[in-house]
Amino acid sequence: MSFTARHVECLEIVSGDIDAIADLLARGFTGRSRDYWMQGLIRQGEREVPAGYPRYGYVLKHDGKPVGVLLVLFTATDFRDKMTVRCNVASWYVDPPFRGHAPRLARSALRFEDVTYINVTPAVSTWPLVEKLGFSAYCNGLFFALPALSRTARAAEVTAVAADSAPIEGLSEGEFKLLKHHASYGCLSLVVQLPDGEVSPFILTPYRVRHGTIALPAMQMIFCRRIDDVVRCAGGIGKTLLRYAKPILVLDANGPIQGLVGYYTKARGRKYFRGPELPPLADLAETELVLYGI
Amino acid sequence: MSPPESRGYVPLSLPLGKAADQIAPLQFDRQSGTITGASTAQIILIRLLAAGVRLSAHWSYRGFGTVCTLLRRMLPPQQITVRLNADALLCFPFADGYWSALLDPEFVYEADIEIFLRGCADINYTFLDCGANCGYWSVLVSSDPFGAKRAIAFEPSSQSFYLLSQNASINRTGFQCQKSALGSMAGVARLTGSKHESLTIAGDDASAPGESVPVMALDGMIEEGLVTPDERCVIKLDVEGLEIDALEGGPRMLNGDCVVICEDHGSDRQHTVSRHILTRTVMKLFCFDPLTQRYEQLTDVSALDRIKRFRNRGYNVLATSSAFWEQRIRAAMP
Repeated sequence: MSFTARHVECLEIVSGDIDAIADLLARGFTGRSRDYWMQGLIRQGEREVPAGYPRYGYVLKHDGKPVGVLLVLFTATDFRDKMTVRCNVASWYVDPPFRGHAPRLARSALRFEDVTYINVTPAVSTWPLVEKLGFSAYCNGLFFALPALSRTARAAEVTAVAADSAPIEGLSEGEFKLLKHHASYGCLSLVVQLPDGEVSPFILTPYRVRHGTIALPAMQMIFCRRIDDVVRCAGGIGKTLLRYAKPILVLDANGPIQGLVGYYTKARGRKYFRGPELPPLADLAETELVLYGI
Repeated sequence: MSPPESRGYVPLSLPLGKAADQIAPLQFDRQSGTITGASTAQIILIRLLAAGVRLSAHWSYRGFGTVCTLLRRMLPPQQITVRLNADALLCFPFADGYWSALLDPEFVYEADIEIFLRGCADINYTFLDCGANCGYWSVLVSSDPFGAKRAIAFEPSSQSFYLLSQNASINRTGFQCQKSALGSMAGVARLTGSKHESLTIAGDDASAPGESVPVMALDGMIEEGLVTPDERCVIKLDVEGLEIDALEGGPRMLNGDCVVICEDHGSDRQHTVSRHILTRTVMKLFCFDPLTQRYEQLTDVSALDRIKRFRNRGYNVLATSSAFWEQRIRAAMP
């Protein structure tokens, strides 16, 4: 019996790799086109990444060809008044003959101790593996709300923020930049001003199921300061969503949300984290859900 | 707090063991809803009390206790045993204004604490139940579904201590009982009050009707050999207004591998206990947020304005300086 050693390298992805990476991902994730992956990789190439962290992720190469990939999205975020780095561990695929090398990708990506890692789209079959890698669930499901039925903040002033909008009073510089940035990705960025003068930012994106092929009359909350803000501004948000023919608001949740009419399910929406900071619910900004689409 | 009358502390411990003869014949199983050992009139009363709990839940159970108190005056003194889970029995006076809420199987007592303690079933720790009343949490924590932990319950009131001891002895695993209040230092104090759930040593009136009770400090538990300095502990503090005193009496314990579950009452709109933990201790503070259904770290007390909705209810905050417990708190979810 003889064995042929396979020399497989684990390297950081560079911009010259992205065409081949898109081919590999299209091959690995059936139902997602090559264009879908290319659009996301181009966005990853253009976005701001904190210094010292990889831009795209890691690739396994055999004879110079990609045979495995793990995408990562590092973001510097202002978390409870202190700057922290968060990393969304996204699409992980390795060609079957090289599956034994898959842990090398995870080890490379998860080596930063001060970083909070999140996995926002874990397939049910991967939950045990994700937990073995030291991740814990921070969100168990989704809440499908009908915000227009809420009596709160119907008289609120709702402003949509575009990529070229002028600054809005009451928002921090970072929040305003985040709203504009996500508007450029095609998200709906809103600022709700309550009658008492308080201003709250929200980012929403169309909610789709079945690999993004079926669009529901729903928008998913991608960013809010706190779930409490959504409850207080629900009437205003609901009225705005009706104009887009999307009466349903989808939110990260661990149970029914007091003050909102709707339905909670654990069947979808589990999310994991690992690291020093517990991620807030409904903060999915700069994740694959935005850059690649749901 | 009344000044300690002496520095002497005499712990009163009861032997553990089964005492089936102490189980009240009138029994209610919360899981199945079945009632045994009851007359027709008692069955009707239990169902009415359960309906009363569910109805009064709409206004934060206001008035339910008063109705129970009136009812108790008309009934002969009697106990009821409630099966909390397959391995936990709790005895208390029938039609008790506080514990009768357990007669509604839908009612969950301090759901936030239950979520946390259930999530800790797989780890080894000692449960220190300070202000244990009749021992609800000690009974549960020492039961199988909660990991059958070692529990020590502290209760200064003679009346509640009798029930506590009874509950320790009727359960399979049992727990240790100590007749003592918690304070900033060891001594003796005057316990006053009219309701068993709100008896306190926090008054200044030495002539008020009540009883003299021994006081111990949290760190006294190490000195008394009840716990070792490096023992992993969950400390539940429900000491009716003396939470800050109790915290001040435990610098060694609080710097160790422990987490404190501390009451911050809904009537205190200044959130004094939480504020104290944030500003005077090195512990991180967490509170179960009903909106996110998980424990959120508090860096200031503003979130408590929203979370503490009812002035007649006790709320709990969790405080720890241990990285291990911090991780377990963050992982606790329904």
